[in-house]
Amino acid sequence: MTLPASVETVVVGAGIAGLTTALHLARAGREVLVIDKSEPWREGSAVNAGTCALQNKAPDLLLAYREGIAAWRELVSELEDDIGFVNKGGLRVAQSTEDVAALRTASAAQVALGAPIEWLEGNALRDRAPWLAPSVIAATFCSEDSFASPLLTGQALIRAIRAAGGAVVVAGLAGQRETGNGFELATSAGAIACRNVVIATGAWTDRAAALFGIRIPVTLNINMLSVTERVAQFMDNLVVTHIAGRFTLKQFPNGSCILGGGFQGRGDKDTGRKEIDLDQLQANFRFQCSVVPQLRASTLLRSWTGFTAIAADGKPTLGPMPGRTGLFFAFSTNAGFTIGPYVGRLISDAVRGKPMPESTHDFTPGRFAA
Amino acid sequence: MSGEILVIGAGPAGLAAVRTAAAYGAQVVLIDDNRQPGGQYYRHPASEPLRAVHGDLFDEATRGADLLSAATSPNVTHYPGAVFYGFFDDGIAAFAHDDRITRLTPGATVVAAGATERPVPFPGWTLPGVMGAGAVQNLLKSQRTLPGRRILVTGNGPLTLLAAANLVRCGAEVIEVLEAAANRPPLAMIPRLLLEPGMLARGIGYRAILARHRVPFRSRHVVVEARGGARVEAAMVAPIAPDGAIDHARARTLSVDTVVAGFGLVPSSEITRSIGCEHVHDAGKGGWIPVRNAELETSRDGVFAAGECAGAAGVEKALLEGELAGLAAAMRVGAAKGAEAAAHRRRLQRRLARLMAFRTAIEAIYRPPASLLPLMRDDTIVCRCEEVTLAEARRWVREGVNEANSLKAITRMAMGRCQGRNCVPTLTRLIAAETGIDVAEVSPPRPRPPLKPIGVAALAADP
Amino acid sequence: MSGDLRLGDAGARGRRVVLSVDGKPVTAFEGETVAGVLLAIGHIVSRTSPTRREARGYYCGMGACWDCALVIDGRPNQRACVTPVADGMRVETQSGFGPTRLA
Repeated sequence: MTLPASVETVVVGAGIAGLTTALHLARAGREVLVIDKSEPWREGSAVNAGTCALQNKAPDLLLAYREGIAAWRELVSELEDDIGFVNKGGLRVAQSTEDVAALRTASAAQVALGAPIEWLEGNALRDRAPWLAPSVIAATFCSEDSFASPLLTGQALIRAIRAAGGAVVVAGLAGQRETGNGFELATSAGAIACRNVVIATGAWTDRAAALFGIRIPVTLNINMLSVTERVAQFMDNLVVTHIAGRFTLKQFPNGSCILGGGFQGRGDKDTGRKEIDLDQLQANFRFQCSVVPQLRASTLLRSWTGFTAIAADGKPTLGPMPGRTGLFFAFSTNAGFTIGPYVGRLISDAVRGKPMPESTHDFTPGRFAA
Repeated sequence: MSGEILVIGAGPAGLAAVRTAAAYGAQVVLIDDNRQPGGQYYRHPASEPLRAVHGDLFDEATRGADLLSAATSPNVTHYPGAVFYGFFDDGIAAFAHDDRITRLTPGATVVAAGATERPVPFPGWTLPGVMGAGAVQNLLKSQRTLPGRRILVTGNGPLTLLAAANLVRCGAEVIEVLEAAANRPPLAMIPRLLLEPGMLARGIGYRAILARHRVPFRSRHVVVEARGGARVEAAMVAPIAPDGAIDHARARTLSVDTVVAGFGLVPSSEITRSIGCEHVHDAGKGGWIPVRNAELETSRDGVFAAGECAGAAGVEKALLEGELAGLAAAMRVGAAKGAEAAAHRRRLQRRLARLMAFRTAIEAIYRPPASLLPLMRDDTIVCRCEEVTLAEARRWVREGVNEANSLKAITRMAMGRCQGRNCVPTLTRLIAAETGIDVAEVSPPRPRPPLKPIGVAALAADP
Repeated sequence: MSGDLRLGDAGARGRRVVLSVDGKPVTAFEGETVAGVLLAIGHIVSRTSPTRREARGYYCGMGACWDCALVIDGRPNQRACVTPVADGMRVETQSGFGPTRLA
C-alpha cells in the first residue's frame, strides 16, 4: 500500500495505545494514519493476557490504572464490535503468612486511595471461590478488576478507525527529519510528511525515540502466556492475581483459560525472535495449578510470548515531548493493556492541543534528559 | 558417535528409519502418540486372533509385521502414547509421556509425523455419519466394524478408492463411489505408470472389486450435501463439469446413513514449520512440505523429514524415505559410515527417484478440480472446533484481514483442539480465493508448541 | 436391525467386557476402542457442540480432530477413537463442554 504524501498525524504503532489515540482523533474529524512495522495488532497488545485489573498494580500508579479501566468501559460503548470485555471483579490471593501480611499492607494502601477492595478469608473465601486450592488462605476482592479479549479488540478498533476516516497500514518507521512545520518520516513503505507524530511503539519505544534523538531507557520483558482447551465455566469470570506476583488467570466466556503472569521466555526484539523457556513455563504451570488445582484436568493448546518494556523508573511516558512541537509519546510501560484506552484518550486530547492533566506530569517524556 | 537419534512418529516412515538406524548401531528414541507402533497404515487388529482371521484381506498387516518389531530392537527406546511437544532452545526436544514432560537433545532427528485427512467442507460435513477415508480404514482394519449400513464413498485420490474396496470386501453396502478427478492418465504419463507394475495392478484390482460387486464408480462427481437431523439420512451428489464447476442442476439424492469423504491427505508439517524449516507448497503432495536435500535433511541442520509429512505420496515412498532418512541420520551421528553406507544411500536414492516418477503419474490421474470451496454455503462450518462458518470467516477476509495469523486471531479458526488440522487448508484457500492470489502464496499460521494438546498435569508435574 | 455392525468374527475377538453407554449396559471386547463400540451399536452421536448445539461424532478416526470427544468415567473431552474400552467403563454423550471436573 502506498502512503499519502502527507497527513496531519501519524501514529506509530498499532497496539492499544496507538489505535485508541487514532480512533479518538479520527472521530474528532482529524486526519490520522497509523503505521506499524508488521501486521497491525501483532505485538504486546495482541498477545497479552487481556487483564484489565486494578489491584495488582503499584499504589503510585493506581489512579492512572483506574482511569484505564474506566476508559475500557467507555470503549465498549463506543465500538460496534464485541471486544469481550468482562467486569466481574478479581481476586488477589495469598498462600503463606508472608503473603497474607503483604496483601494486608498492599490492600490497605489501595483502599486508602479509594479502590473498592474487600478482604476475604475462611468460609467467606471458600464460598466466593470454592475452586481455589486450600493453600489459598486469604484474598482480596476488587470489583474493578476486568478483562477484555486481545483477539477481538484489535480488529474492532481498526474497523472503527477506518469507518471514522482514519487508516492503518504496514510501514516501519526508519527515520525522520524535522521540517519546521512538522516532520518528514522515512518508512519502509515510503516517505510521509506530517504535523504530529505519536510514538506508541510499546516495547520498541526506546528504538523509536532514538530516531528522534531522545533517550527513553527501557528494560524488556518477554512474557509467556498459555491457553487451555475450552472447558465448562468454573471461575465465575473472575480475574485471579497473586500478591507474590507473576500470576494472572482468567477463564474467557468461550471457556478457555488464559495463564499469564510474566514468567519469562527468551527472545530479541530487534530480530523479533521469541521463544518459550520450558523450565520457566513449567514453573508457571506449577504455580498456577497450586492456586487453581482444577486446571490440571484440562489440556494446554498453545503457549506464546509477547514483548513488553518497562521504562527505567517504572512509570508511563505520556504526552508531548517538551521543546519538540508535534512529537508525542504514548508509552504505557507495564500493564499497557489495562491503561491503554486511557492513554489513547489523553494523547488524542494532547494532539488536539489540550494540556495534559496534572496527575500525569510525572510521566513527561522529557524526564530522561540525556 | 555423537548423540541419539530421535524419530518422531511410528508409522511406516518412522519405523523404517528406526529399523535402519538401529541396524547400523545407532541409539534411537522413538516417540508416537498411539499406544502401539504402526501408525495409521499398519493398524493393529483389536485382537491377535483377528489378525489371523482377516490377515489375507489386509496384506499390509502382514507386510508390516517385521517392521513393527523394529520398535523393540535393543538399541531403540520406544515411548508409546507420547505426544511430541516441540523443539525448544539449544536443540532440546520435549514430549509429554506418562503425565510428565521428558526432554532430550538428539544428535539427529527424523520427523515422520504422517498426514491427516484433507478437510473439504460441504454442507452437512459435520453430521455424525460423515467421516474420512482414513477413519474407515481404522474401523475396518483395527475395529473390524462397518461404519454404517448404506454408504456413499466420495472424495479424491487412491486412498478413497482403497477404502471403498475394503468396505466392499468386508461386505458393506456401498451405494456409489465418487471420484472428483477426471481419473484418466494423460498419455504422456503412461510410461511412468508402468515403472511400478505391482502398484498399478493393486490400483486396478481395487476398481475390479467395485465392478465385481456392481458398485457404481463415477469420476468427476462429488457429494454436495449431507442431510439429516442428528445423523446422516441422505446425501446429495452432483457431477463436476470439465471446467471444474459443480453442476447443481444435475444433483441427485441418495438414501444413505454414512458418507465417507476422503479428499486426500495433508502432510503433517507442523513440526518442521514450528522450527522454522523452509517449506514449499506442492499441491500434488498435499500442501506445504519441508524443502529437503538428497539426504532428506531439511533446512535445519540435523533435522530430517520422511514419509507423508514431507509429501503425501503413499506407503512405498514413506518406507523408502524412512529408510533413507534413518540411514542419513545414522551417518550424521557417526553410526553409519564408509563405502557400504554410501552405496546403500545411492541405492535408496535411485529407487526413490523411480517411485517419484510413478507418483507424478498418479498425481496427474487424481488431479482435483481447481477449487472445492464452492461446495460450501454461507452457513457451512469451516472450523469444526470453534464452529466458525464460511460467512464469518469470509467477512473478515473482505474487511482486509487477509493474512493467515490475523485471520486466525479474529475468527478463532485454527485455535481449537485440532490445532488447525481441520481448517488451515480451508483458511489459506479462502484467503487465496478472496484476494485472487495463488494458495502457494498464502503461508499458513506458524504452529506453536504444543503441536498437539498436552495435559496441563504433565506440564505442572514436579521436576 | 440385525444385531450390530461388527464383522462376523466375534469368536476371534478379545475378552468380553461390559461398559455403560448413557446408563445402559453394552457388551464390548477388549482391544476395541470406545468409538469402535459406539459405531458398532449405532450410537454415532458423541457430543453436541458447545456453541451451535450441533451433533458431532467419529470423523477422523485417528485422534486428530477431537470431534468424537465425550465423557468417559466422568471426565469430559475424552477422544472415543483413541480410548480402549475397559470393563465397567462409563461412557456418556457429552453436552457442550461437559461436566466441570475436579482434578
